[in-house]
This record gives sequence, C-alpha cells and structure tokens, in this order.
Amino acid sequence: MKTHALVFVEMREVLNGVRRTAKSASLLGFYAVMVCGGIFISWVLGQVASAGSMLASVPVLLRDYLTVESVATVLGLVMASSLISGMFGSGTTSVLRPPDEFALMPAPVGPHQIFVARYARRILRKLTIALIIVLVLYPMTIRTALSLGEISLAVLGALGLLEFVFLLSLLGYTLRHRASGLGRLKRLAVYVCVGCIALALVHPATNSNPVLGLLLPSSLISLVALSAAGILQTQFLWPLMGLIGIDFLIMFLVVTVSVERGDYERYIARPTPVSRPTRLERAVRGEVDFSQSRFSDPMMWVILKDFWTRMRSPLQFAKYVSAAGASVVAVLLWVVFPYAATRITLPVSTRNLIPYAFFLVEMAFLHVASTTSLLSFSDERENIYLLRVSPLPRSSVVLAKFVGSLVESLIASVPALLLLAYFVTFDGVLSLVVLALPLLSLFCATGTMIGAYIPVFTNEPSSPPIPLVFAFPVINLALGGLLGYFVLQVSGLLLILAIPLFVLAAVWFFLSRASRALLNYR
Amino acid sequence: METVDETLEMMRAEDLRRLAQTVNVPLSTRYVTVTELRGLVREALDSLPRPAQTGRPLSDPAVSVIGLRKRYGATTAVKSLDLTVRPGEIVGLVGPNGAGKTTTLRAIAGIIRPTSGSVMVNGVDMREDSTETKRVLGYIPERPTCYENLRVREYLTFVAKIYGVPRHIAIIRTSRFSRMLQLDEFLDSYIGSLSKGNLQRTLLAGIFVRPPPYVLLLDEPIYGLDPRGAWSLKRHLRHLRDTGSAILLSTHILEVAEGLCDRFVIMHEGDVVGRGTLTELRERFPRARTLEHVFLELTGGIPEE
Ligand SMILES: Nc1ncnc2c1ncn2[C@@H]1O[C@H](COP(=O)(O)OP(=O)(O)OP(=O)(O)O)[C@@H](O)[C@H]1O
Ligand SMILES: [Mg+2]
Repeated sequence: MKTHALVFVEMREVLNGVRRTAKSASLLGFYAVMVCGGIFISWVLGQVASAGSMLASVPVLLRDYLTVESVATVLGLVMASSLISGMFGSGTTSVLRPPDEFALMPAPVGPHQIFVARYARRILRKLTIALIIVLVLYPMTIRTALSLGEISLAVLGALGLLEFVFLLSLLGYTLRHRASGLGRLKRLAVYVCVGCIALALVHPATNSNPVLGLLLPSSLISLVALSAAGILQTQFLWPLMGLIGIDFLIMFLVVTVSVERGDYERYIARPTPVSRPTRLERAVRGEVDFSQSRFSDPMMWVILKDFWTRMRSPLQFAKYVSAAGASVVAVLLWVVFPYAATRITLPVSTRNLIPYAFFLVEMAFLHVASTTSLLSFSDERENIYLLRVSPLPRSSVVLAKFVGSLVESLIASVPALLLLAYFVTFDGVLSLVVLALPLLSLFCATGTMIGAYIPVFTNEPSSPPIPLVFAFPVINLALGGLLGYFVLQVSGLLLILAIPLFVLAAVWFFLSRASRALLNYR
Repeated sequence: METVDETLEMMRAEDLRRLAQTVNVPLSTRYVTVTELRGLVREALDSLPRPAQTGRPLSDPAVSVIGLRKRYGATTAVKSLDLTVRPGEIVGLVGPNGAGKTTTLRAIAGIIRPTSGSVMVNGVDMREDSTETKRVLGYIPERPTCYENLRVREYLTFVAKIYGVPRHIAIIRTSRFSRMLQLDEFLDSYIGSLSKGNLQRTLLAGIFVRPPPYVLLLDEPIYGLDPRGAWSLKRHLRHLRDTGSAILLSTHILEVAEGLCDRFVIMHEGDVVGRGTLTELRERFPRARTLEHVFLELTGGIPEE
C-alpha cells in the first residue's frame, strides 16, 4: 500500500519533470537539436552501411572470433568486476536523495520500500531512454537489412545488460554491509562466497557447464546474444530469456530484502565536497593569499582546483596511473617495434572499411572520455555559487572548465588510441589519431556548454534532465561524423585550413553559449 | 485551534469541490453554490465516523535519551547525553556550531544509529524500528530541501498517504495549515521554484497534515522564515505543546529560544554543559541576565567588551 504510494509519487515526479522541461523554450531547442542530429547520424550510418554492405559481412566476420565461451568470459569479467567493485561503491545508498532525510527516513516506511520505488523510477527512465534511442535509430533501418524489431531488441538487451551489472554491484554492496555485522568467521565465509560467484561468472568451465551455465547470467546472456545475432542456432531462445528474467528477479529480490537502515547513516555521512574547502574555495572566501602562487591567471586556479578535487577520488587516481602505463606501452611499441608481426590482419574484403570503423571507434572512445566536461559544472554542486559570485569573468570560468576537461580527456584517451592504432594499423592511421585533438576540442566544448546548462534547469544536478544528457552524444556524434566524413572523403590543402577554422568556430560558439548559461543560474 | 466548520467556512471553492469528491457528495445538479456545497460536505462529513481530531496521547516521557554517544571515526560528535522531553513541553537544544545538536536530533529520529546508549520515543526503543512510533515523529532537517519536481499539494498528499491520513482529513488539514503558513497561493507551484522560507513552510505543512500529538524534532525551524511566518509558527508550536505534543528544537537564535522553550539543554563539544529552565540557569549564574549570557558563560566565557 505504502510502496504503491511511493512508486506513484516517483512516477508523478518524473512526469512533472517532463512537463516542466517541455514548457521551457531552450529545452525544446535541445530536444529539436537532439532528435534532428540523431536522425541525421543514423541516416548517415545507414548510408555508409548499405554502401559498403558492412552489416551483411559483420556476422561472417564475427563468427570466427565469437564463441559462447569467449563472450561469456568477457561478460563474466564485467559482471564479476561490478560485483566486487560494488562492494566498495555507494550501492543502495545511490537511490537516496537529500530530501529523504526528513521526508522518508523518519517516516513509517521501510528502506526496502524506498528502494523499490526508486528502482521503478530508474526503470521508467531507462525505458524512456530506450524509446528515444530506437526513435533516433529508426532511419538506419530504411536502407539496411535491420528491422525496427531487431533494433528495439538490441537496445533493450543492451540496457538490460547494464541493469544486470548495476544490480550485481548493489548485490556486492549489500553483501559487504550485511557481512560487516557478522562474526569474523561468517564474514570470511561471505567474502569467500562472493569470490566464488565472481570466479564462476568468469570461468569458462562453469560457463560451458550444462547445469551451472544455465544458472549464470554471463553464459545465459551470451547464449541469447549470439543466437539473436544469428551466430548461433538454438530453439531454446525463449526459455533462455525466461531464465535470464528469473536470475534478474532473484537478484532484485535479494537486494530488496537486504536493504537496511544502515544505508541512511551511510548516505548522510557520505563525503560532500562542501565539508572540505579546496584551495580555490578558500581563495574565493578570501582565506588564501594567491600572491605567492606561480600562476597569475584565475583560470589556472580553477583548473588546479578542479584537478585536486578530482584527484581525491581513487577512481580518478587509477585513471591517471593507467593512462601513464598505457602511454609508456604505446610509445615503446611505436618506437621500439614499429613493425611487429602481432598486428591483427584482416580479410581483404573488409580492408577498405577499416578506416571508417577505426574512426567510429575513435569517436565513440573520445566521446566517452569527454564526459568529464559534461560533469565539470555539476561536480561543483552547491559550490557553484562560489564561482558565480567570485570576481572572475564568466569567460574565465568557462574556459577553465573547457581547458581542464580537454587536458583531462586527452590524457585519458590518447594513449589508448595509440595502442589501438598500433594493432589495427593501416595507411594514414596516425592522421586519424591526430584528429583526436579537434574532435576532443569539439566534444569538450559541447560538454562544457551542456554541463553549464544543467544547473540552469535543475537544482539537483545528480539527475539532469534526460534531453540535456542526450543532447551531448547526439551533438558530438553529428559534429564528429561531419568532420570524419570530410577527412575520409575529401583530402588536400583545403582540409588543413577548413578543419581548424570549423573547430575554432564551433568551440567559440559553444563556449559563448556556456558563458550565457552562467548568467541564468538560479 | 479552528474547528472543522471554521475551516470549511474559509475553504476555497476548488478545495471544497475536491473534498466533496472524496467524501462522495451526491451532486445531482450541474451548478451548485459554494454555500450549498459547503452544507452538503458538512452533512457528508457528519455521516462519516467522526475521526479523532487527535490521536492517542503520547506516553510520558515522550523522548527519553540515556547515555547517547555517537562517534564518527576519530571525532565524537556526542559524548554522553541524557535527555527527556515530556508531552506538553518545548525543550530547546542550544549550543555553538559543531556542538552535536544535529547529530542528537538525527539519532532520536532514528536516521543514525547511536554508537552506544538508548533512545526511546513514545515508550519504544528506536532500535525496534516501530512503524507506530514513527507515525508520531516529525523531523525538520537543518538544510531544507524537497522533491523539486512535485507541486506543494502533491507533496502534502504524498505525506498524508505515507502516514495513513484519510484523504478528506488531509484535504481539510492542508487547507487549514496552508492558510496558517501563508502557503495557499503556492499550493500549485513546483517545490523547485519556491523561495527558502516557503520551502521551510512546505516542510512544516508536511508535518501538520498529520493529526497531533507529535514528537517534533526541529533543527533550526525558524531559519529562513519571515517575522510573520516565525510568529505563526511559534504560536502553533505553543498550541501543540498545550495539546500534548512533545517538542525538541535546536536553534542559534537565543531570543527565539528564550521566548518559546520551557527548558533548555545547552551543549558544547558533544557534552551537556547546562540544563534547566531560564530561572534555574540564572540562579546558577547570578551575573547572567539573559539566556545569551548563560550561553556565553557555559561555552567559553563572556568575551570582554
Ligand atoms: N557524518 C559525519 N561524519 C563525520 N563527522 C560528523 C558527521 N556529522 C557530524 N560530524 C561531526 O560531529 C560534530 C557535531 O556535528 P553536528 O552537526 O551535530 O553539530 P551541530 O551542533 O548541529 O552544529 P551546527 O550548529 O553548526 O549545526 C561536528 O564536529 C561534526 O564535524
Ligand atoms: Mg546542526
């Protein structure tokens, strides 16, 4: 009964959110850009795919590489790592929100009821996202052999997989915190259990075992995925999907019944950036004398402050370490073994498509790396007003966020790109790698702009409006696709002049929008 | 406090229509005057089993904290706190920043678990997580936030549902308290667009849609309210006290505390450094004339002019 009321109010909130955004003109603009850009991209992709008959050759290509075991191992690896990293993540507290402190935590509702309601909201959100993606992908079905049903299934499948991974991380979290109340021996037993589950998810022996394999989501999903892709033949598609559903339900129920009140305390005690003033915050409050600083430019302070705040998160630290490792390896490979024999050789029939494929992968990769720019403003949370009232010109703030995230994403992506280019090599691969700079500049500029708009539309930047977040990949892919098209189709001197001009103009435009957005903060 | 009839008298037509729908007033004609509708609603309400205007009285003491201790890693936020609040009493929790007031209130509300010690609310140990006990609790946090995509009315309806308040009572009480808190013109606004004071009023209205008596835990409740809002809140808190609610509030505004609270608990660095009525405290410190002086004496001495 009360769960029902909780779910109902979540849905109402979502609906109201949509209503509120639909009433604001600039958000409608974003919607338009998003849908048109998305449709444009998928139309272009459809053209490319049909011209090169790329999609037709994909299953043939993949059949040699993909087996149930290999896919299950990869999926299992993802799932196991999310189970284990979930133990140290924010787990089920991630569904809580600040107003819950007074509205729900002391109220006569249980933590599991709150969890169920929030999860329902999450599913609704995911379904909306799926719907939008399917809509945007629709033009692709026109020129290719794909049907709308297949695309919908693929999108739903991908989102379902992500949900599985999310639930596993919640499972890891609840197991850890449930275990922390137990005695030493029992706790050890729980940890051993988690280890066993993780191992079973990954190990080929359990995944290909006819009994265990039917219990493990890793092998079940890989079976279904491969048969849906036409690589594997099976009559048991529906029963297999049913088993996946049962796995999902079991995990959901286990998490639901084990959500506990301890979450409230962990949520309230979560570290907030507010409690630890960073250098810039102190500077803005007039507590630090920057006259000793080597940098005289306020922009630099903002960048440094962002850098140091981010460095406090272990994840970020790990990112820098792995980026450093990858760069060392990449440089070693390119310099010491420029023509190693280990490079992947591809069938001749697909060779002319490789540059396109490489570019697409590069673009997707850079896009992911540039998400830091999207978060650059919302990371400030309540401190955003500090920046707004500080005696810095708006342009410095925006530029600082832009440059900061550009450097950040260059660090995160270029080493890995070099590695990729080393293994999948072809003539002119390095010129495509060099494109990372203009692409990232564009992506970070759009990210900064959208990031700057998020606090305009919501006071709760942790859950930005869906269209805003979607505008990011859509604008990026559209612009990136345009750039890639010119580079791969046109060549010559014109290009060398046109690209920098185009990029500069676009970056300037986006950043000036961002600076405008700062004016409109609530 | 105004009666149901008085509330009906003041109710806007729109709310009256809503109420008529919930209590199933048979409307045979297409048009009906407000006065007629009011009569019909009154009849319908009378035919319903009279809901108790107030719930069961609180047990005495309503809040009983013994030896509460709360540690966060190396810092001890609350050292060893004993505290009782009886029904019909407003107790002020005062102390400098970081004294442990918020921590104490959160522990009583059952949001955080004490490191040691016991917290009893309405005669039940908070560790038991009893639904009945939570039904009487009302907590206002120190930094008010709310679900910004809900309208004020939707939020109040939601609270009523969560606390099991019948719908018609919720409508009557919403109308009454939104008027008292000067919130009625914002009932259809999104919470995200409210000013800070109106947000605070919304949270208060969210408590008052439930029938009293309450155990109220208010962290800086006057914060952000304008003088009129503060005045009507204080008046209502006194009324609640007189009808058997137990109120524990933390505040920095000593004038408010002095005028409102019956007793004080003064905290400093997690410890209770003084407690009693204003007269008792004054007797302990003959030099002190106001609560402010007592406060300064207890928390580090009165600074020289
Ligand atoms: N979640 C937490 N994690 C770590 N330390 C905490 C936490 N909450 C409170 N503290 C510490 O406990 C002490 C008491 O904090 P509390 O918020 O209860 O003080 P307060 O009396 O409410 O102060 P104020 O008047 O500023 O609101 C402080 O030293 C604070 O730093
Ligand atoms: Mg406090």
